[in-house]
Amino acid sequence: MRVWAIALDVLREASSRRWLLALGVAVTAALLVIALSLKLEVVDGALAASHLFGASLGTDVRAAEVAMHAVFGAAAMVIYYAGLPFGVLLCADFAPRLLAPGRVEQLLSLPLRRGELLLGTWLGVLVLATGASLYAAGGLAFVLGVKTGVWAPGPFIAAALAGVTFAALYAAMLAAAVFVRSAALSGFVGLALYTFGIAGSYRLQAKTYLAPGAGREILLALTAALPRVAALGDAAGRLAADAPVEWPRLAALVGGALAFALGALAVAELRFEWKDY
Amino acid sequence: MSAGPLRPDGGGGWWRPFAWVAVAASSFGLAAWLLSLGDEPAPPAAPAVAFPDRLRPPEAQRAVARRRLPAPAAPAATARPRDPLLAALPPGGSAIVLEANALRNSPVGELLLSCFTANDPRLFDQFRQEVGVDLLQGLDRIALSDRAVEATGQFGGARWSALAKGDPGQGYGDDGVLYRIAGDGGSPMTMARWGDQLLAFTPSPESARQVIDRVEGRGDDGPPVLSEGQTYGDAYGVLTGAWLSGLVKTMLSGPGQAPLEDRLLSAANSVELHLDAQSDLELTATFTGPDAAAVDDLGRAVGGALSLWRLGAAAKGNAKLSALLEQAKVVPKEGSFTLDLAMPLSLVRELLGSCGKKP
Repeated sequence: MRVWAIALDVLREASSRRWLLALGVAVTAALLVIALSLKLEVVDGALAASHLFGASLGTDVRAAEVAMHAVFGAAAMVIYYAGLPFGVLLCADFAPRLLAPGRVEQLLSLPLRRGELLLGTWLGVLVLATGASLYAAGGLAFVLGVKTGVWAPGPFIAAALAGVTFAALYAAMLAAAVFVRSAALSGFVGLALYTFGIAGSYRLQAKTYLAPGAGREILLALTAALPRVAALGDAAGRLAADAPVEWPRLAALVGGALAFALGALAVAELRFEWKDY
Repeated sequence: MSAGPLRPDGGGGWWRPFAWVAVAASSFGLAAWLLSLGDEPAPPAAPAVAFPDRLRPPEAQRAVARRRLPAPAAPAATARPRDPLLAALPPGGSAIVLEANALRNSPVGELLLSCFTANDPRLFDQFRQEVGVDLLQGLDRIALSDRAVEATGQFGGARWSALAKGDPGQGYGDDGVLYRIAGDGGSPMTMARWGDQLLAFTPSPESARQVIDRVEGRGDDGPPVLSEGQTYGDAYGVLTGAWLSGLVKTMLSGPGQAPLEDRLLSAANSVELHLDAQSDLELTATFTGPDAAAVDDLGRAVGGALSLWRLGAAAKGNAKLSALLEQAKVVPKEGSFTLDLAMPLSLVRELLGSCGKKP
């Protein structure tokens, strides 16, 4: 319960700093831009024809929902790949502020354990970022639904998977902030992990392009535990597009990302508990 | 994450840091394991490739088994067992030897046979009935050289008069017989046979006599173009001069390629080839030339082209070709370089295209 109390405190902090308002305005503005700029007339016409003439007019004209799969898949990818770095940058200064001189002493004077403080902060930021991405996903699904008459859960799936990936990224960012209280470093770590996580998704394919030897094996070992950002993004896109997904693989990817988050939080706790404030 | 009561002084049980290290390490280990389960399947492991780069034990035994003693009249200096086919080859120029029996039983051989018999499935049966030679079983090797086409095998049941279109033949040397026959387009040719195991088709009686002379140990124009130590692979040989030029021209067909052809031929004036065809195609080619620097440049260029080919194959999702090309290599030596290259059977099948299919 005390963990959730800290998480709520993080949310209250975000709200009091009008941070939530700024995030909401940014996401709403992005949705408005998408709503006003998307040229869905072509899709709309195809959908109307599909509804009118049925599903067997030819190879290129499909049922309305099927025709929209690609659009939802693309929307899911946008939410996932654009939302993650957006969230990393916006949340980069939460932990450094928490650890600011004066503030951290005040928190440590409360009847809390240090681990609870860290976990609560991580959860609070995670709830905040996932909530924002769900808001964006809901808005995008709404825009597409209103424009096309097709309602699908694809964007929400992408937002949920983005939340899983963000959990891993933010755990590493939090650990970095515990070691060096710097919003810039925290953001850098998040973006670096995002980038290497994309590259790490293709680590086995990349073997083809690397010369055999110690260098290649070291690189493969170093990328082994990195969250597979692109693989999860690809799964988000496929789920949104109603394409087949290998569920055991997806479960392993989600579990691996969460295990990475646990490892990063353990490193953060190791440093935080024995640090003098 | 509950870590016990706050310890601003960093105190606590001595084991606590180790516990967190253990948690972190096991979490990262678990992450690595789970994520490895979620990784895209790795590209298929590179198939085992053994390039024909030396005389291997079975081929050495085969070479020894093919040795025959020259006729007793031969000078003592040359009276040692030799492979008649190698002895029949001219001393210089180009020559390619096809191990017909091995190739016929290889996957590529099956493909080629289906090409040959596409329009006439009874082609080989008819030849056997007319001439008495089973080309599929009795033919051992075929050698193509600048001045002759030679074949070895079991020709004991051959009806030579049928093959020579009625010419009874004229004996030459100890075991040689020469026949005048009509070649492609009606031009006169000479067929020479040595016993029942070697046949040679030459453009003139004189060159046919030279073949028999070399086989029987009377040739005095130097060692043949291929030595016994070079007889490894299912096909092997040396390309120089006009043959190499023709190959380069074929590869660079198109207008404006003449300067490039000249440059290539000036860099490498001889190529020794060895090909294995028992599964995929595995080729070893050694390029030599008069200018060591030019040969070195050519080797580097070939290596770069191979890399591009491999990347292109990977980009197109051709995993097997990519894996085989990964094992391709260029090994530079002083004044020469060796190219090892493997090609999947599927690509050969693709190159042969519609061959063997009736329109």
